[in-house]
This record gives sequence, structure tokens and C-alpha cells, in this order.
Amino acid sequence: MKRILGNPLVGTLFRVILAFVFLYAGGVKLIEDHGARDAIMAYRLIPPSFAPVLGYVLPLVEIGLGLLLLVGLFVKEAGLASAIIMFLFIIGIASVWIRGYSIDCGCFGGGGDISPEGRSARYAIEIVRDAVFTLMGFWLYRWPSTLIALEK
Amino acid sequence: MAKDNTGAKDARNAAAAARAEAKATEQARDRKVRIIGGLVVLVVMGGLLAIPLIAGKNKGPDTNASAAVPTGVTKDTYGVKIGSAWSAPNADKIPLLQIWEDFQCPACAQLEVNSGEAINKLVDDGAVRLELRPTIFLDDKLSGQNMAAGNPDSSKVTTMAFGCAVDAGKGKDFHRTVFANQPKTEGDGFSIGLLTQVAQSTGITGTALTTFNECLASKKYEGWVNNSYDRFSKEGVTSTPSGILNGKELTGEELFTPETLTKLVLAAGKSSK
Repeated sequence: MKRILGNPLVGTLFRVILAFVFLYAGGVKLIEDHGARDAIMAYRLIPPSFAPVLGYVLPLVEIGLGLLLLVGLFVKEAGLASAIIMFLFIIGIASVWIRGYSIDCGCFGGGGDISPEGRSARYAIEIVRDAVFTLMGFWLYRWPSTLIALEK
Repeated sequence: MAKDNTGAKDARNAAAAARAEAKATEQARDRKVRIIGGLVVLVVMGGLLAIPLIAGKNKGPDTNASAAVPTGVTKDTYGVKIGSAWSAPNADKIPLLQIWEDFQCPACAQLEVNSGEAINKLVDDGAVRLELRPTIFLDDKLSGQNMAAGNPDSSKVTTMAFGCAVDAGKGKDFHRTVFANQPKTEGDGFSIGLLTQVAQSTGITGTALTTFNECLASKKYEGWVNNSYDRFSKEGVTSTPSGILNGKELTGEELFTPETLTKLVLAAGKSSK
């Protein structure tokens, strides 16, 4: 039994999980009409006029990363990029949380939970989730060698 | 012995050379795979980039200045002005509260429950110029559910009905009653029948109801609704409900707490006198 840290089996699992996360997230953003743009504007971190551009680019980057991770190419680079993107998402969520904006009020088509408690719980869960994804990305950057990958 | 030794050394050297060669071959193969794979991914991304461009997505509606607007609506904002404060002699000194809402947004219905009464009181007291600014961004997000429920583009249809009710002089009541009748499940949408019932319950009856029904059926205010939605995007409003008091955006807490909202509006009125 090999040690856990750097175990290619674990790396492979992380690679596939991140791949599907990015393909799903990018795909959903691409299909929704104003979806990505409105979601990005909801964070109020970048000027509104820039949001449509990022709304185009973000899903494409996500899908590109998803594809690379899925087939196992540029795993080291893609892992680092994944970790950076996920970390930026964490900053986004945290800043919205701190500033007290209510961005989950029907804006993501989902719930309508506008009570402060429900909102905090939701932000906390999202931050923990993205933190796990960030760690997965760093793992792949540190130990890029995985199984069933196109590159050795 | 010596000869044997040399032989073993040769064999070892040969093995090392073979390994080095194998490694070089593998590296060369890896490089090839990386280049080809990278190009394929770039091509796929390029292809995906073209989809929204070709389909003309993410464009949003453009302003159509010639579209009809409901009674009292002006083309600078396309908002519905509520309350007597608008016609007061010192109107420009009275605080302006603009509220962006989508009729299908659950949090907007919740805003009515929380702060509706307080806002109504401010309006009735002439203490605020209330401007209701409709947006229909949820039509995009809920299109599947709206379609399945038989109420396609429900935010747009409901906002058109709102415009027709404004013409009948019942804008404020219609607005409140529609939110009170919002379907429990987000995405079910409002049926035409429900909208007609809401109109009737606000006192639109007889010939006024006939006018309302014609107004709604002919999509008289579709252009106005699109214009208001266009402003939503252009003014960088990001979510609903959004409250803007004298140009300053209110936080969710301020908007949803009636005492705080009332205090803020009254304070804004004092400071501008």
C-alpha cells in the first residue's frame, strides 16, 4: 500500500472530480442566456460593463480546464489554474458575505432564502466546497502524475 | 575475467542507452500529445465561443423609444410612479425610492410581506416618491419551468398586465395583489386567468376590464417591458429586489426591515429640506 500523499490513485480521482465540476459549471453558464453575466454582476466586484466579457470568457476557461483534466493533459498547469480560479471564487463569495448583499434571492433560479441565517449557512457551505476544490487543484499541481492520462 | 567484465559493462551501458532512448521517445510522444491535445482543446473552446455569437445570445433587448408606455410612465426611466408626492409642489425635495422587482422573484414577494405596509404608509403620507421598476430577467432562468406550466415568459406577461392595470388607475393595488398571489413554486408562473382575476379583485370591472383584457391580449406594453428590462441591464442592477433611495443602493437588511427603511426615507426627506 503506497502512502496517501501523492498517491496517483487519489490524484486521478481528484482530476476526474475537478474535470466534471468545471465541465458542469461551464456548461450551465454557457447554456443560460444571461446566466453568467448576471451572476458575475451580482458579485459586484468588477465594473458592470466588464461583466458581459467575463460572462463569455469564464465558461470557456472552465470548459477548457475541464477537458484538459478529463483527458489528463497539462495536469500540472491545469491543477494550478483550477486552484487559482477556485480561490478567486472563495474571495468573491466571502466579499459578498461580508458586504451583506443578498445575491441568492431567485437570482440563481434556486431558493428564495433571504433570512440572514440561511444566507450565512449557504455562503459557508459554498466556501468550504470551493476550498476543497482548491486543495484538489494544488494536489494536482504538486503531484501531477495520475492514471489513465494522455500524458505520462 | 577481464573480458567478461568488459562484456558486463557493455551490457549495462547498452541497457542504460536503451532506457535513455525509451525516455526520450516517451518525452517526444508526450510533447506531441500535449501539442495536439492543447490545440484540440483550443479549437473546442473557439467553437463554443462562436455559439452565443451566432445565436445572438447575451445581447439583451435594445431600447425602442417609440413603444407605448402606461399612463404616467416617462421615457427617462420607464418606471411606474406611485403616490401623490410626485405631483406635490416640492416634489423634487421628496425622497425618491426606486424598487427593482421581477414578478416571479420569491424574494420580491417576501419584500411585500416584510416592508409593503411601511412603504404604503410612506406613499400615503406623501413622504416618498415611489417608483416601481420592473425587470423580467427570471424569464430566461425559468423558461423551462414556465413552459412546462403553460405560462411562457411569465414575468414579461405579468409586467405587461401591470402596465394595463396602471392605465386603469390600479397600478399600486395590482402590484400588491399579484405578489400576494405569486405561485408557491418558483417557475410555475402566472396564468392569464389568474392575472385577470387579480385585476378584477383590484376593482377593474365592466368596460375597464374589457380594456384591460384587450390591452393584455394585444401585448400593448411588450415594448415598454423590454425597455425597462434594458435599463435594468444598463444601470448595472444585479439582483431583485433592489432598493435605491435617492440614488444610493440600500442593503438587503435596510430594505427588508420596515422600521429601518422608514427611518432612512424620513431622514433623507429631512436632509434635503
